[in-house]
Amino acid sequence: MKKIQASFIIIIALLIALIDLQTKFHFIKEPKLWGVFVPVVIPNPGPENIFSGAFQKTFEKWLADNAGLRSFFIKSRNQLYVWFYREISLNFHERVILGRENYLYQYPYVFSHNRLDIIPEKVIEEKVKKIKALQEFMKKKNRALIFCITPSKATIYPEYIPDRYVNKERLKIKSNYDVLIPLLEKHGVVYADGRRLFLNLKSEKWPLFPKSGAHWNYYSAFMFLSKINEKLKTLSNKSLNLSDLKLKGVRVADKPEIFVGLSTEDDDLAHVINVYDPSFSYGNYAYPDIPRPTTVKKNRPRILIVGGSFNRQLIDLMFRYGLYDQMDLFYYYSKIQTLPASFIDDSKPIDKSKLDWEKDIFSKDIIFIETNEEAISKMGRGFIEDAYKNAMR
Amino acid sequence: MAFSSYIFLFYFFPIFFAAYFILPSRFKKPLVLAASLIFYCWGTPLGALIVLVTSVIDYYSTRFLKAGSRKYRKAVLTALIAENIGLLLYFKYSNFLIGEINGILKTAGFTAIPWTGVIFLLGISFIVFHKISYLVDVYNETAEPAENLAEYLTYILLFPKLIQGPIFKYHDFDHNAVDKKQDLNGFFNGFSRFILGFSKKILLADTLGFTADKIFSLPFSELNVLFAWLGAVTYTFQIYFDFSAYSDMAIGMGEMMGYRIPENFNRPYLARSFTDFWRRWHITLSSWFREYLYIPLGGNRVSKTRNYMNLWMVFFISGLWHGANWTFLVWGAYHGFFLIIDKIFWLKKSERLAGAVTVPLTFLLVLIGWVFFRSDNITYAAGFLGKMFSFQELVQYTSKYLISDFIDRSGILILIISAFIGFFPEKMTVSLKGAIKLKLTPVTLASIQSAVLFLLFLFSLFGMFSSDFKPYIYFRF
Repeated sequence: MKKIQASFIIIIALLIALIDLQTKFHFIKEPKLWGVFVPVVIPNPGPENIFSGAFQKTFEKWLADNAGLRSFFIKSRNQLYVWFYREISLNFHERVILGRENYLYQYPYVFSHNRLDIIPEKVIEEKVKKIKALQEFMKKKNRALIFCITPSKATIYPEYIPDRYVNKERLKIKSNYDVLIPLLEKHGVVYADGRRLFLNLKSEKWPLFPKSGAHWNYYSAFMFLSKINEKLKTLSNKSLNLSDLKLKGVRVADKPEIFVGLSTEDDDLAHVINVYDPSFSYGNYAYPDIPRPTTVKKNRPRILIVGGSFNRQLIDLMFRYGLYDQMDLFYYYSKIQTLPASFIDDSKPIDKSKLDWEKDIFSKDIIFIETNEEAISKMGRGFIEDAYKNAMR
Repeated sequence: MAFSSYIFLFYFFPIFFAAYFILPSRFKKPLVLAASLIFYCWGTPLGALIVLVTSVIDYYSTRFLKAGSRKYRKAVLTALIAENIGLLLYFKYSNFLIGEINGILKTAGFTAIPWTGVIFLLGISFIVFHKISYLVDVYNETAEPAENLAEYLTYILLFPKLIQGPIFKYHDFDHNAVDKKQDLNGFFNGFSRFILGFSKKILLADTLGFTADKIFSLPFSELNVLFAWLGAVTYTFQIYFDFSAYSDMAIGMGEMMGYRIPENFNRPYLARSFTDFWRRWHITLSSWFREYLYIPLGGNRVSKTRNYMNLWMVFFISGLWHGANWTFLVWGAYHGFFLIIDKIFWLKKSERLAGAVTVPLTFLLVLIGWVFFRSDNITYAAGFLGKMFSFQELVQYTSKYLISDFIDRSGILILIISAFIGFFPEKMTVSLKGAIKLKLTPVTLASIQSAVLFLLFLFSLFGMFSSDFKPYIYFRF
């Protein structure tokens, strides 16, 4: 019996020692943990930091983030969750829902689908009026402003969301989208409606969203871009000199591929749930077969894109077609980036107090404001109001 | 330094116990004291300094408790107790008291008292109770004073029980425990108890705490009857498994060193009355209050009315001891009220009733008490309790939340396991243990025990590492 007791103590002691050694020397290759987290910087262990407890607190946080074998333990736990409970742990900053047929949903889209983000109609109408005024303002300048609503996976594919995540009572309530569309019509705003387009495309055989990703795929993003191009042609007093978009066909792959030379987002949710093998959530991935333009048009328009993560695929496609001469991105109206560059990685914060609205914004041939259905309650993130204020001066 | 933190589990714990068993016996006592000081300094360096200074004062003043007239000795004892109570009042309650006074002043249109806030001293409630236990035991001559300052400080600061108890009364404390030869069986049992406690904390308490925290963080107006009950039930089990886990880890580590730290919990949710509950819940605190407050106030030797008042006062103070908020006071008063009811008639009556009646009833009343304990203020607690009993909402009101917003499948399983453990009948536990011992050889039993504990430890590591890992998919602004 003593041997068993001693063995048990030694095994646990060895496991602890292994974790300690791995923390220091990293001699075992650990699987990568996906996701964005802010690295902890340990403060100087001076008397002030020690007596205030700041050093200890930060050191413990650093240790938690850098402990040996961490990725094995985290991935093991997440994998067990998927195997045993058939769900993703609730204890995630970015909650992910494992749906029917292994469809993954990012929680904010389901949250919005359940009408938990409702804002008053008059707030939406105020924004709509400002968009209309901005559209007129740009038109007078022989330029264009287009407002786009990108679709949510939860509203396009609600049938894969398990019942326990759907509040059926609340589905009877009008969503922000349901309120917004009639208001856009009422005030004569020219807009592109991704949800309507996608619901029409849904009956076709190509998937519009990857099972393993939060955003649309390149095929459906292409279809939306074509729609925008059509709308843009009606918006400005002069020709915007936009290239025509042509689709040769659609290619379907059974795993995510790198498209137009940039890393794929088609499996972003599969990665962020940090399991050993995310392929259980893979399905069909649709990629547009599009001819690369042989020549680049002269006097292409310059565009400012204001929006969020759905623009990644759009920007990739805009590049592919060489649609624009210069592209600036106001990412969530918080970071600015002049493209081409690797999406948001090279961006810098927007200093709103130093923006020259005439030179930096209203001089663009096209202003493209994008909001996802899920983010209608936050649409523009302050850009619409600031632009309106500066335009009406 | 929490026992379930990385710094403790992967550094402090292994380094201390490795040194403890490698170093010759004569170094063990200094090692325990040094480790306890490091443990406390890490959490609250300034606090450690304050505690050290007051402990030195206490230790050297104790000699005055041994000489002179009884009146003189009593005066010294009163002064030293007052010093310690003052320490507790200042560091634990002054922020609350000044905040409340300033609130009143503001309402009345007066200027608030300027106040920068006092630092919170980790474990001060437990430290002060240990210090008082030492003073009273020496005064009553139920124990000899510590031979030197190091022994005294080891008693006060012994790290396993420093932050959350159990409260180790001085006359039960063996200064020479570490000098006794420790056998493997004792170490194994202590180590097993530590791992069991660690697993309880991570796998049960933290999982339940996640649900309870989510629900209690919402305005009560956003809850419905179902969610309010879910919050109350998960918190009821969370607080038990969290606190008893900490006690298990403390008792386990004590055993690994040779100390016999007293038991703190004995299946409290099987209690048949509030009196029974307090014999099972935070046993060392009840015992401390009984010995150092209730009995000195007269205990059972006073008139019935006085006895009830004393009892209620003890629990009122016990509530206050748990935290600086009106909610804790109400919680203490609530328990005091039911203890008086017990004394008046319920204790005798409950003995004649079946456990199937008394156990659920006591559990329900205790659960209601926990709502006060968990709430940030009385208004919230009242609103929360209102929701719990708004049964008409079951058919009329639909919350905008879903049950899946608060608890996942793992949480449901853990809740079921927790209830099973919490309510598993005592008699069955005894007979099950007996049957296992009869059927299995000690070797088989030790093998199974080791394998189960290893798995629990491994799963707990999964949970511990995952709890701190909450990445975003993309940068957010």
